[in-house]
Amino acid sequence: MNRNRKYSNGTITVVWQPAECIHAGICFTSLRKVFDPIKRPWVNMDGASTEEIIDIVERCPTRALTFFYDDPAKPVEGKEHSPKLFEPKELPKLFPAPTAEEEEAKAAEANGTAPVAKITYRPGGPLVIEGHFNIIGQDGKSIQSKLKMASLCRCGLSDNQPFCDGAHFKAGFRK
Amino acid sequence: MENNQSGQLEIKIIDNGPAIIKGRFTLTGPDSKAIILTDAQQITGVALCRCGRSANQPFCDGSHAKP
Repeated sequence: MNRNRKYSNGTITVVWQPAECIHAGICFTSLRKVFDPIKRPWVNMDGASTEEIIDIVERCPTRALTFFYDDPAKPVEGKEHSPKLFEPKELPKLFPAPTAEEEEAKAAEANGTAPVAKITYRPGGPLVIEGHFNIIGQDGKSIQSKLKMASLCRCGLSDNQPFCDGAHFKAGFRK
Repeated sequence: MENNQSGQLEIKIIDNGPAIIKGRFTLTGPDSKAIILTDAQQITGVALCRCGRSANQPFCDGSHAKP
């Protein structure tokens, strides 16, 4: 079953692949005029300029959002989609880092106490984990150790536990 | 079992319970505010709410066990 959706403004078409979406929320927290998960359709291509939409689409960490130009003569410029993921040595820009002093961070790295992962959340959304992590189920088996980014359900309503499936939106989870 | 093997954060999902996070990590809450964790918390692990009912978000307060 193909649940992928396409949204066009006549210049570009944005493609959304829900199976790839981990609900990191960069799109709708940055450009709600276009990406609004409460609305149907959730993408409003008239909400912002083509350039603004492209900028956000290119920041999708999982390629759940991609785009192409409707004019077949205009290919998407060679820019390879580059998720700006958390690397332990390069502190996060995707979500603003806690304004920890850089020198302290360096010292921490030197004596082995530097963070290996970063967890971010906002009210009404999942826990977004970036970095090096291993998710272990109650049977002690590893569920996922290869991902560099994951969203964990925080509302208890996801059908894809322990991961987020976006159910919090429908339920109006606010905490 | 050894924690922090190969510098990974360990995230243990408890059935009908919280997620126990062990290892070195940063925790950032609403408005990009950092939530400060002590060394002891990072070593023994912190429990993060998975049921949405905790009054002490993002941490578990045991509400999941209440009827």
